[in-house]
Amino acid sequence: MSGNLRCVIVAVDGSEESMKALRWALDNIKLRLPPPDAEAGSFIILHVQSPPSIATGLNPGAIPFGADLEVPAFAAAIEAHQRRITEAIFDHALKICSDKNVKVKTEVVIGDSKEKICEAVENLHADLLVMGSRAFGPIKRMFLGSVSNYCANHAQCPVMIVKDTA
Amino acid sequence: MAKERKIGVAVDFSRGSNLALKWAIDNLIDKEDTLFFIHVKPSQVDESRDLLWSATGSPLIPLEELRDPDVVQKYEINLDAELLGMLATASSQKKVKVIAKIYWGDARDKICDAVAELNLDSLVMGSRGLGTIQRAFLGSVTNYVMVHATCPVTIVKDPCSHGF
Repeated sequence: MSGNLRCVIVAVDGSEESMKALRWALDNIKLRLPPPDAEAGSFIILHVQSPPSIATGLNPGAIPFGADLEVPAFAAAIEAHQRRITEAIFDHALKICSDKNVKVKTEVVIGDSKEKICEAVENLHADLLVMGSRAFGPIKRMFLGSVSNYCANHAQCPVMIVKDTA
Repeated sequence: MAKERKIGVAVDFSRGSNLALKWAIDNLIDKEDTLFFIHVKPSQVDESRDLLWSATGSPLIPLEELRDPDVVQKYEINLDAELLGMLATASSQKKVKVIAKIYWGDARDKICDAVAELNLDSLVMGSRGLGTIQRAFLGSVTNYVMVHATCPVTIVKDPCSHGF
């Protein structure tokens, strides 16, 4: 039975919660099957990388001179590291998809995750955004993570939040 | 594809929740699923009937009974033709069971209770209800349920009221 959804974005960040959201989406969301003259629906797995300046900032101790000095070698090293992280995340996600026999597209964007996810929803004309949710604070039951919360408020399409329910 | 899922839609008869219901029927519901139409009424302590059902909500009401004028009067819910039409279409075309349940009390708590009690696989709701504060992005009930419900929650937004 086919649904009406043409483009479903699943935002992943490497956390187990986002992979759980991906699994739930693949199991439960039906995409549009291709009528003779139009495109079939697709899942797009979106990963937002932090910009290099933030990635540096997160690890100032390991980098001599910190973020004050522009050293091309360090910038290149950080970018390579980020790329490896993204690849690892996509490998894991694509393995989940192939286990379920679903073809998906992947997309990576660099920037602030909450804004970039909402931008991607607009640019790709998404019909649905699926994301996991986690909170980093001690009071996990009281809040959604800040990214899920922002996207639920601002994304211009229906948003599905899949929580890690213990 | 998972079969025989229980999908709930929280409805307050606002435009937003009608859109959410339509979205759920068009995009999420599949045959053999059960569509739970959940409505929460503000509690009225002086009605003995409400006291009886204030803890657990009304009994499950199948679609056929929603058209029955006695039932409509008993629960004081008036489904307009459009809503009934959507539910009837879901039931006949998509071969899903449609069941309504009415709760009395605070919508926030009761919707989350419904998720647990009815063992819902997923819940769909609008982003804003009947409230008059249009400045916030998400209504207070949607916000609360999004955080506290124990199943995946889909929030369907009304493009007009969000200025898309």
